[in-house]
Amino acid sequence: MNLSSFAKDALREVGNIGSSHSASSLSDMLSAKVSITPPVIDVIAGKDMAEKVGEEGVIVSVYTFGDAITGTLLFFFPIKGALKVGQCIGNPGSVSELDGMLQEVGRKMAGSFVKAISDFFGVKVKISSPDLSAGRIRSIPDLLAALGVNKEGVLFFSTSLQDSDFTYCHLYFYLNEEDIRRIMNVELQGFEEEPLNFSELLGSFEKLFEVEERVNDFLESITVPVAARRAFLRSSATGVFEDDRLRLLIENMLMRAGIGEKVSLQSKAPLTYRLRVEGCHVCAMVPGGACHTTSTAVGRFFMENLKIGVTIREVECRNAGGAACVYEITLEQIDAFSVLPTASDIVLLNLLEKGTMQLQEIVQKSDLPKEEVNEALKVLEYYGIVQRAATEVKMTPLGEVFLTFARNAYPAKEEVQEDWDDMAKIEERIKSRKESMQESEEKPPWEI
Amino acid sequence: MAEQEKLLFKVENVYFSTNFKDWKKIVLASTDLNVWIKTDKGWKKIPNEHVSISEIKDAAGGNSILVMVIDNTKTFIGGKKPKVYSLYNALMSVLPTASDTVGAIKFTDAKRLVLKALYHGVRRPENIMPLVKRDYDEIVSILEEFKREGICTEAGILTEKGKLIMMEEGYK
Repeated sequence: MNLSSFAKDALREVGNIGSSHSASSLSDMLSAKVSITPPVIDVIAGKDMAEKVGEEGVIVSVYTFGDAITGTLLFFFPIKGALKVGQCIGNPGSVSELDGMLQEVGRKMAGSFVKAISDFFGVKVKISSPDLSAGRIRSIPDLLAALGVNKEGVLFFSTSLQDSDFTYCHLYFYLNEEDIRRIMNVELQGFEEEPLNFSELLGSFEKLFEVEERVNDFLESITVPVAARRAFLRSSATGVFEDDRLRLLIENMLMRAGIGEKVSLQSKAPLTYRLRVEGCHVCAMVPGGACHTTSTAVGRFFMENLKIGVTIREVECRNAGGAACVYEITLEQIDAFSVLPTASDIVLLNLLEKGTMQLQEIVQKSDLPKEEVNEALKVLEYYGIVQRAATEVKMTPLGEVFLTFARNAYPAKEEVQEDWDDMAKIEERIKSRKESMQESEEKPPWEI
Repeated sequence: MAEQEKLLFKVENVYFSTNFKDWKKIVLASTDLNVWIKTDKGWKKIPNEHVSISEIKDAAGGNSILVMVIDNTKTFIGGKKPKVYSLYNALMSVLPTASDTVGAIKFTDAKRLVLKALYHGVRRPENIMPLVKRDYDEIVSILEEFKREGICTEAGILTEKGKLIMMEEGYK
């Protein structure tokens, strides 16, 4: 077992299980809403912790737990939070009375924390308050030193329990090396025959779920104008695909979602693209591999955001010894053709419907600039809609069908948000969407 | 679990149904040999070769439903969209799929494509064929089905019902 690679995951898993229960316990005691901040996993030494929690006026409650699972739990009550807790529970008459109350609150929160992990692992866990009276504890660094945390610090899970206006308390939790070794070997209850080992289970699905959530956030927060979809398809034909904004957005979105370290999309042939993921994260996320995450992310983006059906095939995988994970993406022609045509294309095809023409004649009769005619013909030829031989141009049988279709498919003018691909704005929309989701009351999925 | 069985992942808080009405909250675990489903009655083990994935569908309220076939019975696993997609992505590497294309995922549907062609005025099967790149017989069969279901007329003109499907499903 590689201990260091598991340490963060173990701490996060156990911290998440316990801290949400501690928050519920505090909420019950105060009869008030208590929320928890996103957890942070970081190496913290005593001095840093003093800075983070603001040492002055802080009341500390410390617990250790033991038996099958061991660990240490610290609650820091800043003075404002401590007074608020005191007021809610019973108006203490003195500092020592407040301290006593907070020790009791801490004990109950620690009890909930430990009960949650005890239930999760199906093992008994005893809680105790360490005897710190022997040492001279006058500061947070002194406290951590008394708990055996060296000057370099240890890996802490931390979160804050708070109201909308202020923090009730900061929760810090750590597992030392021996604690982690012990927790990894705890057998999980549940399976009727042989139980599972925590280290086998750790983080695999949760990591995949985090990526999928990010993908989902992007898909629900990105709106791609038809003009951008058209530019994407046309740039493949005209050799400017490298600079296409939609291409760059797809690459950026997949990297930010956590699919891989470097993602690049290349145009290979009409309606065919290659996506290359270097440093693929998802193919190793669950023991069986989860490369389909990339396929479904790309497939959903094309289908849900671009309204273009696709077939995606993984042609190379890092899990199977490849240098990178590579996917071949094939677009549905009819969907692509729905967004491909421009007004110029239709003018040209209307002329070519009557028969083969010389390029010069097309330019003359279309009344379009020569460059525009040339560029349109380049795109139409790339997609097999027209054929060119020297200066002669003719419509293909596919072109005849395409023209009927394109006359009806050519979209009306649309309002285009110029910043549709601005990643900072997309991230802002994701953030506000998440906030509004948190505010709305969650319902069991099948009551909706 | 047998000694050599290896856990791949475990998912909590998903819902299970065989009739799309009675949903039970379950825990689902996947190993290299079996799918394990935990209900209030305990764990049930189903060998991987008895389970196949049919499709994944989006449902109301940000939910998705994974359609699987377990012991020849159509089974639905539902839950929040990212969770069900994660489950689908993880299971796809382990379980056989009911898809006709080995190793590929299709985000498309021939019926949708034919409907789109009709909507844009391309009605003859021989003209639809090069646009949607499907077999002539498949297109004829879809057109027949559309006529039977009142989605298009004998002449291939979309009925109000057909137009409504185009709009509602966002096919346009």
